[in-house]
Amino acid sequence: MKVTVDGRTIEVPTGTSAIDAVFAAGLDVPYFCSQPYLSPIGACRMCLVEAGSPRKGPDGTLILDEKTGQPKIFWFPKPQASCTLMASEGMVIVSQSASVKKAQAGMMEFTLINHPLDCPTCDKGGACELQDRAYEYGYGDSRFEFDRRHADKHYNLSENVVLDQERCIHCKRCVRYFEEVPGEEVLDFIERGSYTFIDSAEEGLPSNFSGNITDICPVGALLDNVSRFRGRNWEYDHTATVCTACSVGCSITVDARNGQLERIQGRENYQVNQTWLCDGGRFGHTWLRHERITTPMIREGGTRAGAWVPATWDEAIRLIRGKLGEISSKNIGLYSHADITLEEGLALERFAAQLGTDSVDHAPRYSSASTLVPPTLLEVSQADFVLVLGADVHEEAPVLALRLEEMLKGGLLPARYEHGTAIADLRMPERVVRQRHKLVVFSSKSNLLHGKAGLAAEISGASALHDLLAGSAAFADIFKSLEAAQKPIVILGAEVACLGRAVLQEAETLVQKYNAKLLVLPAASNSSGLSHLQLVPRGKGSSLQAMQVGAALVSRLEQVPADFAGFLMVHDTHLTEAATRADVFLPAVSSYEKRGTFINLEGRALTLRGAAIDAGESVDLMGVIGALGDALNLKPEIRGVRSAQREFQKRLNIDLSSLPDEGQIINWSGTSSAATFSAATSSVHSSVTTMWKPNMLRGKNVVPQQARELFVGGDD
Amino acid sequence: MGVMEIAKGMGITLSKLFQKPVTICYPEQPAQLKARFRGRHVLTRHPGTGLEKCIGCSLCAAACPAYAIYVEAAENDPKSPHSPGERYASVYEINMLRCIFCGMCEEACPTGAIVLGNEFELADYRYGDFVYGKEDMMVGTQGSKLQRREARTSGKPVVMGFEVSVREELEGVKYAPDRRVSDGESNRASNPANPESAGRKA
Repeated sequence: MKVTVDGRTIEVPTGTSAIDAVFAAGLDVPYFCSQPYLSPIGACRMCLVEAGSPRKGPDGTLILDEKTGQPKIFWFPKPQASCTLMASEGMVIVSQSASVKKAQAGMMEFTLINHPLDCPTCDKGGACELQDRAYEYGYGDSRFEFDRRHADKHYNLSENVVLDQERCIHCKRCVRYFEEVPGEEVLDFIERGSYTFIDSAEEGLPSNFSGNITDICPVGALLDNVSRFRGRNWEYDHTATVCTACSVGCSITVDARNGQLERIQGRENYQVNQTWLCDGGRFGHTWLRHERITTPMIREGGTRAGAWVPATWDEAIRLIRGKLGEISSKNIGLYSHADITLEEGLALERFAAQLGTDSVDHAPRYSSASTLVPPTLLEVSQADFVLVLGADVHEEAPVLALRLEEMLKGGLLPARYEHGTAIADLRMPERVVRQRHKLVVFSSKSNLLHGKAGLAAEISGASALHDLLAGSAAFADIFKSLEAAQKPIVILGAEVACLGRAVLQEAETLVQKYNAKLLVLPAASNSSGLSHLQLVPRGKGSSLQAMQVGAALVSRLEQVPADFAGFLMVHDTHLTEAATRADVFLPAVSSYEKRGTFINLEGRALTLRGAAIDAGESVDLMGVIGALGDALNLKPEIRGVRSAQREFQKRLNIDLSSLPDEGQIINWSGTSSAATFSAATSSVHSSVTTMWKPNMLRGKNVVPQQARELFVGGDD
Repeated sequence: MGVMEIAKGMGITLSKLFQKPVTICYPEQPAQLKARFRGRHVLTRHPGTGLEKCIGCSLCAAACPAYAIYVEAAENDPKSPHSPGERYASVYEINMLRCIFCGMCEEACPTGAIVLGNEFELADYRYGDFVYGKEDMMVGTQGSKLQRREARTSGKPVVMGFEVSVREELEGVKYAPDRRVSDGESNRASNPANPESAGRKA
């Protein structure tokens, strides 16, 4: 389809909106209400352009201009909002004329009539769409001489989101967001005209995804209360990295100031999180700064009863050398949390092999992993039938719930152009009727997904799976749907996945029978990557539950077995329960400070980049392994991210140091995979399935009390 | 070069000998500053309410070409606010060693909170002492950190080595008159070379 924008004729696909045609032509139009992942509604009227198109006469041919002989352009009588105007064949759009500029500047003047212009005190200042567009397109002056609207400037919508009613320009992004993305209508416009304000009928914002409205608000009306007044936008060090709070791996921007993590914002990744984040990932970062320990510590007097005293790394290594000298290297256990990077996992694997120890483990993990290729998140959003067994998706992998909501809406994704995701995709309507019959949920406890499913029951996922395989007559409708579906997907949650190989085998049989794809929600954020490394215990008593070793390194795990009496080295950010029983404390960096690679639930490799956070003398797991090697006079094979990535280049034939921004699905076939965990080690770790992960609850006042009750206490 | 030229040149030299000197004996005599002399910053307050004008917006820090300013903001307690509105500066620091006294901060300030005053006697002994906090710059504070330290230990008031007519942006700033006159330590008042100072004082 050919469209002419300000004299440039360009080719755009059918269905393109006029605003995208203008951007595709390399020109710019101001807009506030459009958002790539929301339906365009033309609320702000900022994107005015002049447009006209040829018209056909009664004989079916284009009406021609008498003078030029070209098709005559019939212009709209007034400038049109380009976000709600569909481009058509031969359309002529004028976006840069004087009359368009005047219309846009006039609109800007209207928008600013009731805006308080308190940019110096506004947290949005410097990253504000209204500020930028007013500078680029406004008159720079107002003819409005009367009193502005005055409203509540500090209105807490919830503990995490604060609303300034004066600043709102009624673009309706937040209202549409709640209806369209999480499917939870918690905000709406109240009153009319200049008295309009947004509010919710409930206390707070009862949604797991409320923080996203602070990202999409084009002005400073909805702001992140956690980072309120912590810094101006130009003062932050922005780091584009990946959230490791759960296995989805949302792209985030970590904003730090003065070496302290202050704010997390969503970053666009079309394949994974679009631009959305869950509240746990967005607001749950404050645990890091409370009572963090950033120097090694040893015990006073050398006994466990002694008080902690800060030490240098040299002192800690000397102490470790003395203790480990008495122990055979086979008798040393290495245990880590399963949210370490792939590079750290490889270093751990190689170091365990060097020591010759069987006692290496990561937790939480399931005793067995599926070898089937999981569906991608885009495939989930475009599936035509999804069966969820024993999963609380909103807690285990929150953003996956948004993809399921998208699936219920029909799996319509915004188009992508050279200038990015479509600013206004006119195929996306408001208030889509959800195709609830496409979702079936079975889990032993009712959860948020139950309310969205066509069929949901509070029965255990494993028994439902068993009955499904047995062909129980009660599930006749499900069999019919599974058979009719072209792209069915089965999602297994913690409740089922922790039951071991036999149940997993049943699930694999089920999906193979219906040609479905199986998505097993990983136990921890990087489980799907670590399951391909030899990080499982191989002998009796070598698992984390038994820990029958003379000395153990425990990295960021909260607990060790009560009867463990050996030499304990704890590598963590805070003094956890395990750390209170340790002999040496080694400070750890958080995932926000690491460099490396992270594998999400769909097997996508995503790059972690270290934010500018002051972590003192903290090191990652590779650093601790280096220190242990120093103490044992061993030179670890993997000593840094680069040597690990060289090894992965050999194993996977993939360069992890230059992954694309959207990540890359890794093909593990042909590698020596540890996915087939041995039956001897089939001990199951309890998987924590809350959106607010335990470390987020570590610090004081870390999570607002209300959220704590909503997400954690609510279960019991 | 002729004799005439030499005589002309010497004539100029000789004529200066009988003119009033343009230099003064600082620090015995106070320096005469112009009102727009840019010295140590002052954080002003709103007249009447006494609230701080600074809202902690950090625009001064953004405008500062020498990266001398550091601001941390916090939320006002509505019951006892520091400043009008929601936001105030909980930390406001200027590193006087970095500052080049260009006045860009004053220009950038949307509320007229930070104004360059006239104090210039900022010498001190340690690097850390050159970082001036809010309490060192808030209107009403007289003198540099060192001057105030000395005044505290000696029990005498802060002594300023200059005189100036305070411009109106420096709301509420009064540079104390030079105490050395009344203490009789200086002969400045009777110095005929400086009639202007006597005139200003009156």
